[in-house]
Amino acid sequence: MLKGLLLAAGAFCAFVPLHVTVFHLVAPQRRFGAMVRLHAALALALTAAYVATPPDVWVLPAGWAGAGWLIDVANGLLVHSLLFVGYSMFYFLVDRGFSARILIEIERVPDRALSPEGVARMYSLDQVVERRLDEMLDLGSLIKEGDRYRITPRGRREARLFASMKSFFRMGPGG
Amino acid sequence: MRGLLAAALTFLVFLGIQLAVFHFVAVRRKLYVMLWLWLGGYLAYATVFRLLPGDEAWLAPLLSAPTHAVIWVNGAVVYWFLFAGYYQLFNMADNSVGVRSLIELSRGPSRGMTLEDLKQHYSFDLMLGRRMERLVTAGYLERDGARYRCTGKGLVAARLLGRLKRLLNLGPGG
Repeated sequence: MLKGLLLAAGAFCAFVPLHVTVFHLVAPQRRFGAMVRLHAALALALTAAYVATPPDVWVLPAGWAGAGWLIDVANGLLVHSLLFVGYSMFYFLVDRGFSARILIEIERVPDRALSPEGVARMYSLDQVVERRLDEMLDLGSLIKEGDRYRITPRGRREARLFASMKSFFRMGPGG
Repeated sequence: MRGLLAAALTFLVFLGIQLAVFHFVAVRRKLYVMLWLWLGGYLAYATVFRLLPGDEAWLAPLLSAPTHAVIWVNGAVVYWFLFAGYYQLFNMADNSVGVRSLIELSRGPSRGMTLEDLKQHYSFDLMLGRRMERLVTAGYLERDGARYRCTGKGLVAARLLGRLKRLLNLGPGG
């Protein structure tokens, strides 16, 4: 199992600098899509590296390299994907975190204090919502007709799923 | 396979208990309760791992790995990631502005809604106020009359997040 794990760790170590480089050099329009493609390319590279390297990857002690190749490579790909999911959580927090943006705006003013109205003046709440609605336009959950947003069948299914989660977990309207 | 199976079974146990607790009890500190349930899950993980037979007893060589510490740790890490992924979904359902907007749009007229229509059902001021109060509870902001002031912890977090945004070339975002 350790060979797959080592290769998964190696692929993730390659992912982070590649992600930073791509975002600086290319600045992709659909950022998360670019991240998913990079992750998929590295998953292929991981599989190729698994085939091309010896069972001990030149470093593993003899007793640690005895796993069946199928479970080893599947486990490596699983861990690689789970690392990507974890990294995505971090990425969304940095990129889209509304609370993070509030903190940054307050930290920028000279006395580091703002009222909610002050935050809203520096960071339009309409923009917060519009940005999210535009992302849902890209995903096909909404369509825009003039200045009206209309829900698609896909969006309705997603809304139903989340509404039932909110109701089951007694979350209240939230948001 | 033994570690992965133990992780999957433990996650199912965690999910069942979390569903029951959050359905029957109005939990206020959701992350805190979920973290405790997840931590408790490691006892279940250790038990399930111990009860499962070794791979070589029931699996083809292609799918089997000899049992040692790495297998145990691998399963424990997978259990953590399953929890983290699930928490992301749970948090999205609870707090996401996009999800709330989508639900309001699904309940609105079939011709759709403008941003102004949406505001009638989903107060943007409340959305902001709720987050600022949560930041106070978490110790990132403190109240100063009608204003909210960054605490030391808030300043560190704001600067770190600002640097990460620049590192990833993300723009102001939010």
